[in-house]
Amino acid sequence: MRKLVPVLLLSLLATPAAAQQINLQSTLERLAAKTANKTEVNLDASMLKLASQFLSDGDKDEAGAKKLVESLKGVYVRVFEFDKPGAYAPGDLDPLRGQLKGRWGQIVSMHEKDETVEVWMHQEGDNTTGMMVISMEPQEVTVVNLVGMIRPADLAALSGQFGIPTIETKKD
Amino acid sequence: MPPFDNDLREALRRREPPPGFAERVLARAGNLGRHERPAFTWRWAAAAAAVILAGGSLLYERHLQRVAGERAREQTMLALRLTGSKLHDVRQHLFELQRRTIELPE
Repeated sequence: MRKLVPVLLLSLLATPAAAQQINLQSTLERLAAKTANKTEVNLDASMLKLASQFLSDGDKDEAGAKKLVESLKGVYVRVFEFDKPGAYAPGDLDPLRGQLKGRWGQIVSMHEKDETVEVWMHQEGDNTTGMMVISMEPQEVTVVNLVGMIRPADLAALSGQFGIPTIETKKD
Repeated sequence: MPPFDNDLREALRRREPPPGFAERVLARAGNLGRHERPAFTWRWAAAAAAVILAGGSLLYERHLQRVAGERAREQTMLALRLTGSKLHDVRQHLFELQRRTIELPE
């Protein structure tokens, strides 16, 4: 029994990381079967550490990315491109949503013209420890899973960096 | 016989070598042979090959690590650009909604 205690403690510590990281492979099988072109990015903690060594401090975007990835434990991306509109059904993403429901909170669901963007967050106390962005366009589905500590400032920086203009809001 | 002839005869007279002379000559000749071996032997060749192999594999490992690092950097930037682009769309949409709400006539 004494030998089991450390194992149980370790498994309890390992649970939060597993909760933030969704198995994209199995939940997106339906989309993968219909796609014409797929882009896949899998960066675990060790790969992010390696990447940060190669990110330049001189470049504004790369310096921002370096700061952001310091607190991340994983970055997982899937981009599915389709030959024609209607090649996939929105329900193809239900297995993924099924895994998110209950453990993750959906903070935004935006529908505009042909595009739908959902932003899901994983919270641990007051901290955001995971983010999932699901974007559906007629011929493209993008899923991004960020694992690790994400600060609100990081999110604001993300939308105003990497060649993306910042949205100027008027303050009276 | 003139004294010069006597001297010459005495100088050229056969003399027996001291005892152990032949053994000493042979022993020295053996030592000389050993010193004359070529400096570049198979041992040196093997050592040089091992050094070159170790250095080469170290350089190759560094090259592989550099390639993996560059790839990880590119993938990180791609992932963050995609995330940033989608979040930008959301922020813009929310900003538009907020603007429209403010502009609504009372």
